[in-house]
Amino acid sequence: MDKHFIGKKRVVNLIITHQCNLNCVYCYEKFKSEQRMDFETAQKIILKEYALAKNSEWFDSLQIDFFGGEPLIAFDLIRQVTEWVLAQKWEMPCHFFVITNGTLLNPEMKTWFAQYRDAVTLGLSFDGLPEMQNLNRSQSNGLIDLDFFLENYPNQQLKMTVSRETLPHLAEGVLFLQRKGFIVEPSCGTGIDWTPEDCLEYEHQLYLLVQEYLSHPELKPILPLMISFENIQLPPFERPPCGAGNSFETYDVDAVRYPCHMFTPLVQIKSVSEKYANLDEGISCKPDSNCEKCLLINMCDSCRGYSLSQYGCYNRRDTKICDMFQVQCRVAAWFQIHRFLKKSEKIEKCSPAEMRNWRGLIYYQRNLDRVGYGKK
Amino acid sequence: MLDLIVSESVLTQFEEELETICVDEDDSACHCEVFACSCSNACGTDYSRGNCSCSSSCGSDYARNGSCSCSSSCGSDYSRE
Repeated sequence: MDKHFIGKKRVVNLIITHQCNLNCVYCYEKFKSEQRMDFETAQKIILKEYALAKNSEWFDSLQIDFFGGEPLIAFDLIRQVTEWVLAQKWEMPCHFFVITNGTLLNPEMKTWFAQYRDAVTLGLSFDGLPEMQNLNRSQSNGLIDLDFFLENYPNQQLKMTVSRETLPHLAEGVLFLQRKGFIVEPSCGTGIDWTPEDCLEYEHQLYLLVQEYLSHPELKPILPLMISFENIQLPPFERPPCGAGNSFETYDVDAVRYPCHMFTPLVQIKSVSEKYANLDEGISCKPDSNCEKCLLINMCDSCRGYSLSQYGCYNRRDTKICDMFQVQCRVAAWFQIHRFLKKSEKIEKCSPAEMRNWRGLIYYQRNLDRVGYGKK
Repeated sequence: MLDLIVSESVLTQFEEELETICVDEDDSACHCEVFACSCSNACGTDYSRGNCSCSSSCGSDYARNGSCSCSSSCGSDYSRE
């Protein structure tokens, strides 16, 4: 098998509608339309994927994601598909996930999602302070019932995307949501022209959070500050860059399969997306050659689909976000070391992975000159 | 730019403290409280949930309920049983 399967969960992403009711400033779906998936198409895809997962040694569960556009525009399909799958009483566990902007959630939907919350997880995108949400996401703050998400999905992380406009309020926005009780995971928007000034601001904002977390250990740090350095000392390896086309597949409204949604006609021009339609093998793991000497090569993320739309080549590193990632690592390393040294209780035992992370932090600090795109 | 280079004396202190920690080779669990299983996000949607998260839309096998099987997607592969 050529594919680089990772994990044991088969994730099937169904784009059930191309429509969205918002127009977020960083949206990468440039080719929205009124197309939707019908029930029969969804059934066929799920039956095929279930059979694949069940007969494969690689997978022990199936996850079906409802994706858009805004998937709640097609709520009737979500309900129909979910109830149909659950009625099959399949041996292999199936879970459903919906990522939503939360603005269309009406009382009927709330009742249904609350009833099915063990089977269906509803994930919310929300961008920080109400003003940040309004700035990034079409003045939609007043349309979202945050308490519903908090009450029904307390362990579901809230996706917070940072734009250039909201970056100066990043720390404030994170803390606002964390104090409400949310697990917040901020990330810098892909495709934004981040400038050197933005990097400085990002560093400042992360540092504000670091100070808060060091003085309030009861607050759980955001994941960008807890990024693991455990693989930093390994030689560059051709790891699966992402699950795209491997443990993960996306089906567009017309049942055409793509490595992930970033390869679909919602994001790519037709002539490009056609090349990646119904591929039988996963996409290559080979990294950008300009990254081969960078110390962070085993840690950094680069969205393959975004690179494809931007550079015409999915292996090319997204350099726009590279500097921001370097900032993140710099602050994260400083934070993790100081947090460790500040711990009131002595750590007596750890896992090998934890130790690799801590040693990786030291290695990183002593080799900072080896970080960057195009390093020779 | 902030001075975020950790001084050699602090690094040495850190190293010395690590020497006193016992590594449990049988412990393959992911200790999310110590450092998270994270697949930091490169692309759009964040599917994270539970303690471990793979924020990433592109193809994550993202963990939930702290079961820590974030075999990601874009970014580090933190999968461990």
